[in-house]
Amino acid sequence: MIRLRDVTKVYEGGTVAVRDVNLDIQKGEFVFLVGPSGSGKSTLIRLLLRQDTVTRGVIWVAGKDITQLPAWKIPFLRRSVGTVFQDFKLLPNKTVGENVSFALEVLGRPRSVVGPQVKQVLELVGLNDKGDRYPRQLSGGEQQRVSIARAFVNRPPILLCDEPTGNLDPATSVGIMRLLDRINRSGATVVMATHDHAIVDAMQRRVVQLDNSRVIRDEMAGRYETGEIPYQNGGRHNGDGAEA
Amino acid sequence: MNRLGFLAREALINLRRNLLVVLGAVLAVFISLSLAFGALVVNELLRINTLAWQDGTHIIAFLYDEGQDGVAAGAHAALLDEVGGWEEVANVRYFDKAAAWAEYQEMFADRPEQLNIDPSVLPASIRIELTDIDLYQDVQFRLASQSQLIRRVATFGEQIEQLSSLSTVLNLLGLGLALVLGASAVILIANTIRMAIYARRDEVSIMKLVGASNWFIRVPFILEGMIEGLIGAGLAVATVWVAFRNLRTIGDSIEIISFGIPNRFFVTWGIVILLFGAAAGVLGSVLGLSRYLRDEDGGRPVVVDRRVLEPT
Ligand SMILES: Nc1ncnc2c1ncn2[C@@H]1O[C@H](COP(=O)(O)OP(=O)(O)O)[C@@H](O)[C@H]1O
Ligand SMILES: [Mg+2]
Repeated sequence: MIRLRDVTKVYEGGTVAVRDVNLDIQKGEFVFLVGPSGSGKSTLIRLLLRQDTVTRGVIWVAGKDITQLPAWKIPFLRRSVGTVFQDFKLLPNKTVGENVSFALEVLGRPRSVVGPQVKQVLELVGLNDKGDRYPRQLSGGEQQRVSIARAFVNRPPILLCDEPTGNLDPATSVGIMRLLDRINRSGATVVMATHDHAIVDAMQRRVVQLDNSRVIRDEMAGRYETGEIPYQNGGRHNGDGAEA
Repeated sequence: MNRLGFLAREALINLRRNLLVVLGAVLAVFISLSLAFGALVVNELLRINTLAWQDGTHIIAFLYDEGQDGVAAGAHAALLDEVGGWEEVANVRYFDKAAAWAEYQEMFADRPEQLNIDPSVLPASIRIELTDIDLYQDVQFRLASQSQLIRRVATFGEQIEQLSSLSTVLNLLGLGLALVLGASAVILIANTIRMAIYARRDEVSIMKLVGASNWFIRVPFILEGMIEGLIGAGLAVATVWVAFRNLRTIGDSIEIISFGIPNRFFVTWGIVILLFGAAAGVLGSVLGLSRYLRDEDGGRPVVVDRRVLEPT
């Protein structure tokens, strides 16, 4: 479903955010990207969405080399990849229902399809009675459910989540993780960047650990940390522009 | 249809949110197109009045009397017929000796001593109205070949040329002004659209995130620019029309100036001005959008220092 080969991203100014990353993610997998702040998790997700272009290397998503994608085809990539972010990215002047239907309307879906599909996905995230509320009238956890509903309403085969529980308390986070787990079990491939130890340890899913722009561990059914590899001081690197 | 409704709704929300900036853009279009349209009208007035000048007589050819110096009877009528058939000539009138005497008496009514002449010395003439004032030399030249019949040709050549060149200057001035102001209107609309995008950058970035195509994102902004251009142009056309109507009401008492611009002129040019406003709006939006949408889709190639990529 997702394959990265020797992917390197250097930002303007010389920061190497991702260095020589190789990764294969199968259809239906649930993968945690873990690592401390600044290790390159968000950059990887941006590259998968073509919000940024690789400096070197190749990325395939659903069999297509997205590094060669012409600009006009990028929207089609994004229609097959749902996204969830730490800050929800909801529109404050639109209701819950409008926020979710917006994602279908901008794809030009007819109203007869939009209505039932929005209702269905709001039921899935447990907000069917709050469709007329505005985001500010919801708790953080509920807002994140809305953003998951928006990401999933189009039934994309892939869901990318960048620290979706970063702004939520542990109890609320558990609810969000249950939701993502259910979406994953319905067949979607889920990639989630996080530095929440408890969640990773509880889920027992594949863990890809980044440290200082490199992959230093890739483990099935892993925990956030292993005793063997110290990630805090980054081990074998030097000369990184960001830290220099 | 539903899709169009959605896009139109987005454009309207946009217009309402940035009322002040929108007002600026509309005003720019309005002022520039008013001046352009005003210049067109003034020019048309000038053209009509140059043509109508001297009661529509641009050339007078004084004739030898019939039956004198070998001028055959009926030669005047034949000449009148021939000249009337020339394509440069809009109208030709025959002025017989009696009419010439009447005109002479009127002209010198306040100087009785001048009236002591033999009326038969005053020649008959033909009075020619041209289709286009600039053609007077051509007609003068054609008349010259009839020297056995024509005693003398009088044109208002110099005066005509002065008016004609004044009209050219006004034309150029109007055109230049319209160009400069039109360009500023386009730039102002581009800025409006840029601010509109800035105000809605969250919305636009979410649209991009969920996979809206670029044209789908663009259309509401282009519609917005077009509406601004159309409103500005509409106001300009209405203003010039109203101003002209008022001017005509005042001007009808001034006999020497004709305000007889046909409504057809206003309809035709009004449509042109409206189209121009809409086009300026679309152009402005496209300019305002280009930079924003270009930057969004991935970075420019980064010049990488080889050393940072060397294996460590
Ligand atoms: N747009 C950017 N321009 C320059 N440097 C950036 C940009 N985005 C991120 N970085 C840098 O790239 C590195 C990785 O950042 P990021 O991918 O956000 O890490 P994480 O999500 O793991 O915290 C950091 O050193 C960060 O400062
Ligand atoms: Mg991050």
